[in-house]
This record gives sequence, C-alpha cells and structure tokens, in this order.
Amino acid sequence: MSTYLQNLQNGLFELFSNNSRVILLGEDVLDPYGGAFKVTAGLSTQFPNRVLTTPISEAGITGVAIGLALRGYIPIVEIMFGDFLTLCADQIINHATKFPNMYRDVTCPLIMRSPMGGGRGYGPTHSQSLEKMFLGIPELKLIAPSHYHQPGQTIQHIATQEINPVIFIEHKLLYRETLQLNSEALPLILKTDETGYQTAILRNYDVGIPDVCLIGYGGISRFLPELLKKLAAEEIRIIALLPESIDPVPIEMLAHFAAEAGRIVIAEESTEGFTWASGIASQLYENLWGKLHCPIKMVTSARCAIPTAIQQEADVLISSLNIENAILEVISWA
Amino acid sequence: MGMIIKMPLLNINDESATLVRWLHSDGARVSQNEPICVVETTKSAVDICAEIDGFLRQLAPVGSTYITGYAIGFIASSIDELVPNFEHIEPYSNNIVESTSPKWTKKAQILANRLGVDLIALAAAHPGVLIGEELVKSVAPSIESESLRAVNLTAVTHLPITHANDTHQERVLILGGSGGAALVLDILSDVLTQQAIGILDNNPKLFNTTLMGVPVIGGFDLAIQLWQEKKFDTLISTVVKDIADRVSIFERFTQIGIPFTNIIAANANVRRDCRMGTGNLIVHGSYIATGVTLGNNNFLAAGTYIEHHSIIGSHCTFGPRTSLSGRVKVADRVKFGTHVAVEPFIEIGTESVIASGVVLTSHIPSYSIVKNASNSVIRHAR
Amino acid sequence: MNADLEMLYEKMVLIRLFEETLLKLFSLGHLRGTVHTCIGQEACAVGIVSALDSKRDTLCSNHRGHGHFLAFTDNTDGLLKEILGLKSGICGGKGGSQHLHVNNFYSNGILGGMVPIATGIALSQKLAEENGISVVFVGDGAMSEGVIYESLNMAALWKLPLLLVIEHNQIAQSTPWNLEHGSAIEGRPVAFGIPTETIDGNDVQTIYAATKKTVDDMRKNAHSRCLLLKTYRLGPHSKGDDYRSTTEISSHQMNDPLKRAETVLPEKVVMGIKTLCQTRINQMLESFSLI
Repeated sequence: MSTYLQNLQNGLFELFSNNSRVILLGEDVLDPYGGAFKVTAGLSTQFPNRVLTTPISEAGITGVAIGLALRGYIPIVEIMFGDFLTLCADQIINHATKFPNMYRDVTCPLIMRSPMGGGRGYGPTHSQSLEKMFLGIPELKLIAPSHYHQPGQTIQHIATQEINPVIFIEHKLLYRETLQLNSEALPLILKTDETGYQTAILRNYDVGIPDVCLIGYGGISRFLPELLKKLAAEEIRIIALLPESIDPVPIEMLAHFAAEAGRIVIAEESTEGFTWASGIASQLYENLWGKLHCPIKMVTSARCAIPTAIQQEADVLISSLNIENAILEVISWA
Repeated sequence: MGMIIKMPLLNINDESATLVRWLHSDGARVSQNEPICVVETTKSAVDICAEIDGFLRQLAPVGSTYITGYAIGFIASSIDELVPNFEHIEPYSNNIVESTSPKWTKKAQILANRLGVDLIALAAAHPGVLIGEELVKSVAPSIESESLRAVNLTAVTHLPITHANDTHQERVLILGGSGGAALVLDILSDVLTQQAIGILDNNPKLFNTTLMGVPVIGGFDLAIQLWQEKKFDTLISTVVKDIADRVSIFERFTQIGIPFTNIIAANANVRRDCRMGTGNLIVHGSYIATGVTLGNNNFLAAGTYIEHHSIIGSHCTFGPRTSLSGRVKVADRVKFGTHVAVEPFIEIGTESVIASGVVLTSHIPSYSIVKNASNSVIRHAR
Repeated sequence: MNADLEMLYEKMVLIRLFEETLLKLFSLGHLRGTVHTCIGQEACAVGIVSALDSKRDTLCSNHRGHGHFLAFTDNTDGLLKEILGLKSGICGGKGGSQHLHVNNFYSNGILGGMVPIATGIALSQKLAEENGISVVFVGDGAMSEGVIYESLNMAALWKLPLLLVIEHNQIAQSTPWNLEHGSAIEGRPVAFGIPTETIDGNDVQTIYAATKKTVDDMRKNAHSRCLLLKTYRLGPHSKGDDYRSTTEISSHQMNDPLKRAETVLPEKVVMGIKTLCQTRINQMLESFSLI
C-alpha cells in the first residue's frame, strides 16, 4: 500500500513518461531537495529538461506557465504553500481563465499544484486552506483528492483531459497517509460523478439507512477512518461523501446520497464564512427542499489567523470532535 | 403525592449538569411552573421549574455536578409529606466529569430522548449491558393499546332507524348529569332503538331534578341496585373532564358485569367495516371512516373525523372538530382538545394530551403534553 | 529605403485613420465601454511589428493595442467588428478593444500582466527551436508593475528570446511619468542583464531598422533584449480624460510620426497613400452601414 505522496510521485512519473508536452515549474523542485514536500523527488533527475526550478516569483512563474499552455505545452506549477496562491491570483483569474473564455479557439491547460492546510505548526501564512478564494471562477476547476482517492491517477486525468486551468490541492497532512483504497473496515465505493471526477462514498454500516450524510473533501478524509469507526460503535450510521472535484461540485450525486439520510453535515478546513460548505448547502437546500429533517450543519475552522503554537492551532482548526459534535447535533433534531 | 426533581437531560452532549443555586430555601412553598433552581451545562444555564404546587426539599448541595436523572430535590404536596425512598445515583465528583464506561450508545441516548424512554431506568434494568438503539426502540411506549387487545370488538355499521317497528327499546342509564347528559338525551331523541330511563350523578343537589324530562335519581352507587332490579339494560358515561375518573367508572361497572352501550348520533356517519367495543359516545356530525377500530369508553365530540383504518384505543376524549387522517394510531387515555389535526400514519402514545389547535406532524411518545402549533413536547407528564 | 518608408507610412496612416474613426463612432454612440487610441505612437507599432515574422514570432499587447494589432494582422474588418461587439468579431464581441487574439497575437487589459506570459511563450519558442521571438509591448506606466521584473529576471536567467518594447509616451493615464518613476526606466532591464536600446519613438524608419538588427541578433543567439521608444501620446488616454495643456500637446504636434515621415516622402506619394487608406476606411464603414 502506498502513501498519498508516493502515489502522487508515481503519477507524475507516469505522466512525464507518457507525455513529452508536460513541463513542471516551481521553487526548489530540483533533486536532491525535490520540492518542499518531496512531491517532485527524482523527477528532475529523470527528466532534467522538463523540470524547471524557478526564482521565488509565484506570479511570474504562473504567467510563464500560461505562456507555455497557450503554445501547446501542459505546464504544472508547484506553489510551495497554498497560501502563496494569492500572489498568482491575477495571473489565474485575469489571464489563464479569461483566455479560453474571451479568445476564440484558445485552450489554456494550466495545472497549479499546491499543498494546503494546517496542523503542522507553520503558522498564519503557511497553514491556510485558501481554495475558497478561487471558487466560482468561470473556466477554473478545483480538484482536491482525499486519501480515499488516487491523486496520481487524478493528476494524469487532468493533464490528459482538461483543456483549461485547474488548481490541484493537496492537503499537507495527507502526504504521509496510506491510501485507503481497499480498507476492509469501511466499505468504499469510488464513483465517477457528473463532473467526470470520482466521489468517494464510505459507509460505516452494513444494513439500514444512514442517520447522517457527511460531506467533505481533501484533508477532511484524514479524520474519517477513526471517526466513522467511533460513530459505528455508537450505532450512528454515516454515509460520507468526498468529491475530488470541489468546483464544479457533483451536486446531483451529493443530493442523491444526502437524501437517504435527510440530515447533512458539511465539513471543510477553511475559515468560517462564505465557505465551500455554504455554497454546497445552498444548492442542497434547493435540491432537497422538503426532504431534510433538519437544517444543514456546516463545520469549518475558526475565523481567525491560524496560530503556530500547537494547542492554539488545534483550538482554531477543524477537528474530528467538531465534526462528531455536528453529527450528534443534527441527529438530535426530532 | 409529591414529586422528585431529577437532573434533566439538557442537551445531547451533556450527560450531567452542575447545580448552580437554589432559588428557594429548603421547605419553602413553591408554585407550579415557578423556577426553583439553576443548573448549568457546558453550553448554557437553565432554570428548572416546579411541576406541581408544594413545598421544596433540597436533596443535593449546590456546586456539584450530577448525572442526568439524579434526584436533586423533592416537592412535597403537603408540609408534612416525607421524601420517599428512592435509589440514589451517585453524583459526579465536584466539577469533574469523568467519562466512565458508557452505559448506552449515543444513538440510544438520542432516541431515548426523542421517544420518551427513561434511559437511566433502562440501564438499571439491564446491568452490564450496553444499551443500544434496538433495546430503546423495543421498550418505547407501545402505541398499540393494552386494552384494545382485551376489547370485545363488534362490527358496527350505523344506519339511523327512523321508524318504530321494534317492540323492544334498549333502556339506557346515564352516568353524569351535566352537559354530556344533555348531549346523550338530545341524541336519543332521534334514536328509536334506545331510550334514557334515568340519570345518576354524585352531586346530591341534582337529585330529584330533571333534565329534558329525565330524572336524576341518585348517585353512581345506585346503579348496582337498579341493575339487580333489572331497571335498565346498559350504561353510558358522560364524564369527560378527568380521564382517570372516566376510566375508573367504566372499569368499576364492567368488572361486576354491568354492560355499557354505544350511543351514536343519528347524523353521525359510521361507515362500513368499522369495529368498536362498548361505552363509546359519538356526537352529531362525527364521521368514522371505513376500516376504523375504536376501543371502549371513548367520547367523540361533535364533528370528530376519524379517517380510514385508524385505530383508537380506549378512554380517549376528542374535542369538537378534531380530525385524524388515515391510518393514525391512538393509544389509551389520550385527550384531544378542540380542532386538533393529525397527519396520516402518526402514532400517539398513552395518556398524551394534545392541546386545541395543534397540528401533529410527527409521532408523539406516551405521557407527552403537546402544546402550540409547532408540535414540540414541552414536558413529560411522567 | 524609401520603399520601406512608403510601406511603413501606409501602415501608420491606416492606423491613424482607423482610430480617428473609432473616436467618431464613440461620439456617435456606436461603441460601448472604452477605447484607448495610440494616436501619436503609430511609429512604435509599425516600426517594431514590421520587422517581425508573424508566422513564427508572437506579439503580446496591452490595452492600447489597435496599432499593434493592425500592424501585425492588417485585419481592419475583424477588429472593427470586435470593437462594435459583433459576433463576427475576432473574439466574437467578448473581448472588445482590449482583449484581442488571432494567430500569434494576444492582448489583455491588465497592465504588465502579459509580460510573464510573453516570457512563457519565449520559453516555448526556445524549447521548439524554431528561432521564434516573443515580443511584448508595455508603456512607461506599466513599468511600475512588479510582475514585469519577475519576468525580466527569468527571461535573463533562462536566456529567453523575449523582446520587451517600452513605449515611453511620457504619461500614465493622467499622471506624468516623472510623478511615477524614481529612476530612469531604461536602466532597469539593464540591471537584469538585458541589453536595452533607447530610440526616437517617432522615427519609424529608425525603429524598424533597430528592430530588424535586434531580432536578427536574437535569432542567432537566443537572449532577451529591450527597446525603449521615446514617444508622445497626442490623443487622450481613452476619451475625454485629457488634462494636459493645449500648449504642451501642440508643442509635440510637429513631432507627429506621420508628419515626420511626410517631410521625407514626396507629397504625391503621401497624398496617394492617404487617399488609398481613406478609401479603405470608407469602404469598411459603408459595409457596416455606418456612414
């Protein structure tokens, strides 16, 4: 069984072997260092001309990648910490996503890869989950595989199928996790949803209908093996849905399975307010009006900077306990 | 009889709460619904109110944390009533809530709260067992009424008889001499097969008066003598104010073999394939749809609508214009106010009280008092 | 030499007449949004672009890009349709004046934003080994945008065939250049190791010649270069937003690049070219029923 990191590394190797148009740019991506989280380890040795280490110029390298994309290449940009994506926002929003939209016959297959999320004590500017800032941008997709997915397969799918910009989000704490693809403890189904990406569907029970539908993505998956086991012992039946495509979101599939439970919790690590969860919730209300037993409960991190100190950081970030309490709260509605 | 004040379950995440302060001194007179103490959970501070009038006995000191169900006080109904013996559950040590090995699953706890199951009692009855969802469901107050199983149900299709070709009229003795008796007399004025021969009432002031030409001839006890003298054939009870009274009157006479009858207004509509026991009083304009089962001793005021295949237990009273949709189940001794509306398939547990105008959209556990239109249980009567 | 000048002059006249027409159409309410003209700067567009090979070289332009576009494509019809917002415009009416693309031409409305993209295109040209050159136009105003300097660093570092053309028109919208810059602009690419040549931006022949030489050098030996063209914006920033004194503007009228060319060319040639271009513009307008 491979880890999330190994799976992603292997996926990049396969992609580089199969498609000579793929180029990777990023800071500190060359061997022996191999990138801040080692995702590109070995890649520059194997493909020296196609792995470019760049100056510390996030906006600049994004623009360079867009130039490559406009001229037939498939560039992958590694942004060392997702927090720095704000520096790339103008190039992504005002350039990369505009070209395929406003120009005729232009594609811009740009892939922005970036680790997001907290839990490692990196502090306020290196721990955020800023993907919500890029939600709802026309011609931009956000893909965030969990450790119930295969990130290496997904990035190959993006490189071969997508013709326009994609932000690919990797949660820092998932890198070392073992992929949960054949877990016997939790029956897992990977279903290709209406976005063309896969939604991981987990159930912590064998028979009956679920009490609660838990929706999350990416790094939220790290809580699930333990949490779902714990809730199963409390006889609380959960169906967990983890779409890897977070924008566009497979709302039809989510609504279909959420309707079984009638009680919904949506969890994400970004800070409270104007979240992915709130966007999903509004669409689910529309889809499931009259079928819900209680209001949809959203769980996020607190609305403040993410502290460095271990206990303070833990207090601010979304936790397994937050999700568990939200689940108990929605079941408690009569 | 007095009432023990137990630490309530205040929210689903707290199995215990801290007694912050008493609002009345030990022995003070308190009134029903008056706040008597303040308790605090991790989320909020809540007032606990007296459920009856009486005298407060403080049983637990403030500042400590007590498990849900712990007896923190007693309200004596008289100044000299003693605190009854009860099994004490140990309180948690001061301010520290240890997570001991759980006695029940969280799902069981949530369901027990929803269905009105006393989880602490259940756990005590099953020592060493982790109480689960199935066990809670199995002991949840059964909607199927106990007495309905014992009722001798007969098929009834009520077709008003408007011409007298029957030489034998059933002689009915009416129990209770107030408004209900007038209703019965009015109904019988249209019915040729039944005739009221007298009224019994325990109020001596009514003796020797008449109601619509029918005399009040004595107290309830007189029924036994009159039965022995074969002065009447059946009884009907018009006592509706207190259901417990209604039950005890019915049981007293049926146990010694004096039968009750069904009184059905001529313009009430009892459709095909209905079954009912005895002692039911069905007032003008009521509609009992096909397939309905009615137990004993129910009182259906004017315009009660009971839709098809609903099952009603015994000793229930329905205020005017109460409407039950199809396949509703009502247990015993349920009291409906005026103009209650019940959605299809709803089940209502024993001894629940549904206030006027309530629209029921979900099941009601036994012993619930349902008030206001939003259909929430405001307290458990037992 | 004169043959070159006639060709260059004709392109400049066409751009001038096209843009004057746009201003008229704007006044008549036929255009929406905004239009930035390059009146007075035609020599920059024509001199640079005429020295390029539109098959293998690419051009990234900015908000003031009609001149660049026409010099590169000569597609007056497609451009006018686009600015008029017609579905048959080169970008289906979505782009309008500032967002244009055909073949190797790309323009966008974010100042400085196209420079890293031009750098990426230069990287693709270097990887393709076809000796193509990536040209990007910016004004002196945009030279305060940080992303340009990130790009110059990478272009120099990776020896990319990037030609940065700075049209130094002395003004950024309404703010004169000396209120925007703390140092001479031409020194900046040099600081990154990029050879920079300052040229009279109103002398189309000189620009053309310098560009030809620069581009030849770059094709032989891939590296980045910068040309800084000293020019003057005779028209407003867009429309009705010019607060410069008429004295100041009229002092530059004599330096109009078209007039400079006319002093060299025979009058008969000048008249001939003007008539030719005017006829072409009129025919275009007639086809749209705009006159």
